[in-house]
Amino acid sequence: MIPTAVVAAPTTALMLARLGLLAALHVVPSDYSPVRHAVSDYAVGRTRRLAATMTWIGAAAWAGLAGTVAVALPGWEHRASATLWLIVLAAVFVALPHLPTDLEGERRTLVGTLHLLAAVA
Amino acid sequence: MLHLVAAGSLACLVLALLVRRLRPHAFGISERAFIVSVVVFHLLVTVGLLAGTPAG
Repeated sequence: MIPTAVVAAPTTALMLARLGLLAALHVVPSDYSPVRHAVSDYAVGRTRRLAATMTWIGAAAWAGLAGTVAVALPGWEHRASATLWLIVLAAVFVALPHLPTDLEGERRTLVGTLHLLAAVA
Repeated sequence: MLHLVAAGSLACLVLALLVRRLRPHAFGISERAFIVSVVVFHLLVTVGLLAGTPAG
């Protein structure tokens, strides 16, 4: 039996890191406005590495939460489905940096459409 | 409270997606409010599980 803290502690750290990176995206110089532009736009241009890092940290956080739920809630009737959906969410986050969004005003591309579908998912 | 922020911001960002005139003014902020509220909620879940109490 894996102690809950073994999975919950790093998951907590990853979620805090993700929040910190989201904040950092809005502090570093960029061409984007938090009012006029989507978070996905940061994945295009000079903030793309920081945005990709944030997204992959997010993927690890969702995977960690899946593990935490699986370990910490053995009696929960929705444990299996919740764990599965969190793993799916983590997989979507792994894929997102490879599917950059179409910026406003640009021609819609297949990759941009796939990004929109992944974001909605 | 977080669920109200998440639901409200989600409604706003969907509306901003559908009404193009709203998008430059509402989508960005409502999207960020939604993301932050969802991440904070799940952060509280992991903290609660770490502390040994089931999340409400």
